[in-house]
Amino acid sequence: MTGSGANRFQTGVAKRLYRWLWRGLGGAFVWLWVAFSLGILAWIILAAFKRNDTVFADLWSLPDSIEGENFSDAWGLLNLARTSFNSVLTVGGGTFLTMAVSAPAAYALARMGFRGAGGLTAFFAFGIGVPVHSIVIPLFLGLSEVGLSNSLTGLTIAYVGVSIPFAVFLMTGFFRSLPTELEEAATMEGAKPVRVFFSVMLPLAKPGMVATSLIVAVGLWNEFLLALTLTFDEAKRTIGIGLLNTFGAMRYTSNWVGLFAAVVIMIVPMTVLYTWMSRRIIEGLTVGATR
Amino acid sequence: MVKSVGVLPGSMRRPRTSLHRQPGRSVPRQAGIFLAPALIIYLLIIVAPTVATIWISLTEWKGIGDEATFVGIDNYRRLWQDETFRASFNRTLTILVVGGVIVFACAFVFTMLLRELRSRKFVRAVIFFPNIVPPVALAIAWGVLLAPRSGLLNGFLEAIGLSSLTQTWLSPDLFFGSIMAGLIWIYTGFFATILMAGVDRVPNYFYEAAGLEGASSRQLFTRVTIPLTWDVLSVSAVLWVIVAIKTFEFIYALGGSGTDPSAASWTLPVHMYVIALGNRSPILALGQGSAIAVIMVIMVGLLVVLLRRLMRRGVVEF
Amino acid sequence: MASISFDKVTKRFPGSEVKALSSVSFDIGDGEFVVLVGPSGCGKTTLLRIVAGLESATEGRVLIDGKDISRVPPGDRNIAMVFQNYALFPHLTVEHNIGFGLRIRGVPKAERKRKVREAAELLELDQYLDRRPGELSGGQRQRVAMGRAIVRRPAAFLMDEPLSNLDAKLRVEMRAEISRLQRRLGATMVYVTHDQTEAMTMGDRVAVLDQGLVQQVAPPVELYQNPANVFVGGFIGAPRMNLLRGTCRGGTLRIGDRPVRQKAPNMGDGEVLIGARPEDVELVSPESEAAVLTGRVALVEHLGKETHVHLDIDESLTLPDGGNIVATSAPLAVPQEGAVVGIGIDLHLTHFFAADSGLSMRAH
Ligand SMILES: Nc1ncnc2c1ncn2[C@@H]1O[C@H](COP(=O)(O)OP(=O)(O)O)[C@@H](O)[C@H]1O
Ligand SMILES: [Mg+2]
Repeated sequence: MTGSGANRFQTGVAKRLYRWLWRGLGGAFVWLWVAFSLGILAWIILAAFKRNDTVFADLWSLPDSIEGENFSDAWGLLNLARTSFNSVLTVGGGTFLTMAVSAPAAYALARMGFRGAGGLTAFFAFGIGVPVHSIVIPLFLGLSEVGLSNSLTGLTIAYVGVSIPFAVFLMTGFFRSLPTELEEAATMEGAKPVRVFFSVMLPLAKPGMVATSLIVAVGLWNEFLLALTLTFDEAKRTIGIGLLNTFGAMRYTSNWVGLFAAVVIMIVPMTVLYTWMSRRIIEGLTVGATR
Repeated sequence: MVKSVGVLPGSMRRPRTSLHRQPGRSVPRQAGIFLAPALIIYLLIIVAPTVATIWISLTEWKGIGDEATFVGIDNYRRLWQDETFRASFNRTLTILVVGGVIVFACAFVFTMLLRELRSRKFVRAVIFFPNIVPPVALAIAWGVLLAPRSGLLNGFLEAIGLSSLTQTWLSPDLFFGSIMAGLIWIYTGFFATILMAGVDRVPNYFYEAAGLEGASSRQLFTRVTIPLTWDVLSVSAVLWVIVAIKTFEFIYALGGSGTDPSAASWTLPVHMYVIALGNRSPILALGQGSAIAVIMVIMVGLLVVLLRRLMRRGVVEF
Repeated sequence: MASISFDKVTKRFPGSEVKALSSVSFDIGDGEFVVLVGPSGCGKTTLLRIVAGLESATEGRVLIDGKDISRVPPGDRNIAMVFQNYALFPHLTVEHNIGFGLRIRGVPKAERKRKVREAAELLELDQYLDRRPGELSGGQRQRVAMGRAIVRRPAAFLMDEPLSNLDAKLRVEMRAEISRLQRRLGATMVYVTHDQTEAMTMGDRVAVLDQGLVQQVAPPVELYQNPANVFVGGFIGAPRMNLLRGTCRGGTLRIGDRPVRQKAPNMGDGEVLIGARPEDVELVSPESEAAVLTGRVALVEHLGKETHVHLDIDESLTLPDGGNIVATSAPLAVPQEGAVVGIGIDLHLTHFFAADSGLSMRAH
C-alpha cells in the first residue's frame, strides 16, 4: 500500500520480465531435453537401417536404402526365435504370479489391520532396497539344491521373488486409497473376507493391478542379471541376455547397425505397451507410491 | 463382582479398529491365508539369500567348489583400507548427493514448467521414456553419443563450429561425469513424473484461494505446492536413495560394452559385481563382494529410516 | 423381525481418552422406528456400527431378540445398513448392487432376479437396473442403497444419515417415503440423523445423544413437551428454546433482581434455568404487568407464516452460549428494530431445569 503509481508500474514490469525470462528459459530447457531424447532415439532407429561401413562416417545422413538386412542379422544375433519365447514365458509367468501373490498380501497388509501389519509392510519394503546382484550367488546355490538352476521355472520363481517387494508396496498403496465403506457394505451383505476381496476390492483395484503388472513386466523384460547368472544354456537365454551378448560381441564383429537393429527390436514391445498405457503406468506409480 | 477374566482391557487387546478385527472372526488366520504365498516366496528368494550374503561376507570364499573359511570381519577391515573401495564408495555417495540434487532440481523445474504447458502429456511421456528402455540399450545410446571420434556429441559440436569443445568423453577423467549425466537424463523423467502426479492431486481451489490472497508464484510453490505434496516428496526421496545406491546395469554396460568396466567407473554395486561375479580376474572374492553388498543394504536402510524420520512431519491430508 | 437392546454399551477408541459412548442402555421394540439424534460427533455412527458389527463395544452388550450378538459376524446378524455415502459398488450395475447380498447367500438366479425386480419396482428404480452407480443422480443412488437393504428382508435396518447428501426438496420427499416403506415392511429401523426435524417427523421414538450419553428416549411429542434436561430442551425444536437464569426462594421466582409476579410451580429453593420456547414468549409493552424483563429488538426475520424477533437482553441473564432471546410473533404485530419491548412468559408453559445438573425439575 506504499509506493507511487510509477513505482508499482516498475515492479509490474520487473515481474513481467521475470516471468517472461522464466517462461523463455524454461521452455528452452524443456524442449531441448525433449529434442535430445527424441534425437537419440531417432538416430538409433535410423541407424538401424543404415550400412555398417558408412554409419559413423556420415552421422547426419538419412539411410539411402532401407536395409532390412540389419534386422535379419539382429534376429540371428539375438537368437530372437528362442530368446523372445523364453522372455515372454518367464516375464509373462513371472508377472502373473507376482500379481497373484502380491495383491492378496497387499490387501491383508493394507486392510486387515492385524497386529504387526505395519512391521510386515516395512519388512516387505526392505526388499526394494536389496540389490539383486548381492543375492544371486546364494540364490543360485539354493536353486541348484532343488534342481531349479539353469531352468526357466527357476528363473520365473526368482523373477516373482524380486518383483514382490515393489508390487506389494504399490498395491498396498492402492488398497489404502479405496474407501472402507465398500468393504463394510459387502461384509454387511454377508460376504466373508475372501469373497470381499475377490468380488469387491480386486475389481476396484484393477487400475492399480494393471499399472503394477505393467511396471513389473517392463522391469523383468529389461532384466539380464538374474537370467545371466541363473541360467547358462544357449537354449535358456532371454532377450535381455541376447542384447548383452550382441553388445559384447561388438568387440569382434563391429556390426554396429546390427546392434542398433537389435536395440530397436528389443524396445519395440515395451514402447508399444507404453504408448498405449503410459497414463495408467504413471497414475499407478503415483497412487501406489503415495498412499 | 468378578469383572473380567482377561488381564488386558478389551481396548488394549484390539489396538486398531478394523473390519476384520470383528467379533467371531479369527484375524490372524484370515490374514495368514492372504499373506502366506507372497511371504514364503519373498523369504526364500530375497530374505534367505540376504542372510546367506551376510554370512558369506564373514568368510573368504573363491567361488563354488572352493571351501569357505570363516574370517570374521576381515573382509570389512580390508575394504576399509582399500583405496579402490573408497573411490567406489565416494562415487556412490556422489551419485546420491550431487546426482540427487540435480535430478530433483530438474524434476522440480519440469513440474513447475509443465503445469502450464499445453503439450505436457507428450513431454512427460518423452522424459519418462528412458525408464522403460533396457539399461543396456541406454548404455549403447550413451556410448554412441559420447564416442570419441564418431560420437554424436563431438560430431554435433564440430558441425556447429565448436570443435574446441570436443572432448574424449569416455576417457578415465571424464568417464564418471558422463555416467552421472546419463543417470540424470534417465531418472529426472522418473521423478518429475511422480512429482507431477503429486502436484496434480492438489485441488485447484488451494491455488485459487492463495491467489486471491495475493500470493506470488514463488509463494504458491513454497506455501502451497511443497506442503501439500510433502508425502510424495518423502516417498520420492526414499526411492532416490534406493535407486542411487542400487543403480548398476547402465554403468556396467556403459563401462564395459559387455565386459567388466575399468575401475574408473566403479560404484559400489559395480565394484561388488566385478570382484564377486565378474570375469576380470580368475579368482573371485565372494566374501569381500558380499561385504560390499551388506554395506549397501545397511546404507539404504539407515538412509531410508533417517529420511522417514526427517520428513515425517508435515504430511497433510486433503 | 427383531428387537434390539443396548445394555450398558461403552466404546472407547484405542488411543483416545474420552469415551465415544458411555453406558448406553435402551430397548428398541420389534418393528419400531427409532431415530438416533444428536450433534455431530456425539457417537451416533459409532452406536450404529456396533449394532452392525463393524465396530465392537469396549464394554456392554447388544442383544438382538434377547441374544447377545457380540460374537456374531456382521453378515450373520440379519441386519441391513444404508451408509451415509451409500457405499454402492461402482463396478456393478444397479441390479447387481441390489442383488449382491442374495448372490453371496447363494439365492438361485431366477429368484434373485424376481426379488431384485420387486425391490426396484417398490423404489421406482426398474428403468435403471442396467446402469452403474456413476450414471445415477444422488436421489437414485440413495434408492439403490435402500434397495440393497430391503431386498433380502432383514430383521432390522440401520440408516446412517441417509438423506444428508440430498437437496432440501428431495429430502422432504424421501423422509415421507422412508417412513412409508418402514411401515409397509414392518421392519425394525434404527435411523441416525443430526437433524431434529427428521427426528421429530420420522420416529416412533427418538433417542437423543450428547457426548456419548443417552439424554432421553421418548416419542417426539413427549420429547418436545417434557425434555428431560437442558440439552434435550435446547436441541429439539426450532428456533431453539430460550434459556434464562433465575433463582427460586420461598415460592417466588426471580429473573435477575426482578421478581416474577406469577406463582411459580412447586420446587425447592435454588438456581434454576427457565426454558421458554419462542412460541411461548410474548412481546408486550415494557411497562406492562406481564413483562418479566425487557429487551431491545436486534433483528426481525420474516418467514411469511410467522416472524422471528431476536431480542438483546442483559447478558447476565442468559447462558454463556445462550445468545439472545427469540420470540415468534404474528407478522402484523412486529416491533421496529431497536425498539425496547417487554418480554412476557407464561410460567405454566415454561420448563424448569436445575442450574447445576441441567435436569428437568418437573416431578415425574
Ligand atoms: N475410528 C475412530 N477412531 C477414533 N475415534 C473415533 C473413530 N470414529 C469415531 N471416533 C470419535 O468418536 C466420537 C463419535 O463419533 P461418531 O460416532 O462418528 O459421531 P457422529 O456419528 O454422532 O457424528 C467422535 O468424537 C469421533 O471423533
Ligand atoms: Mg456420523
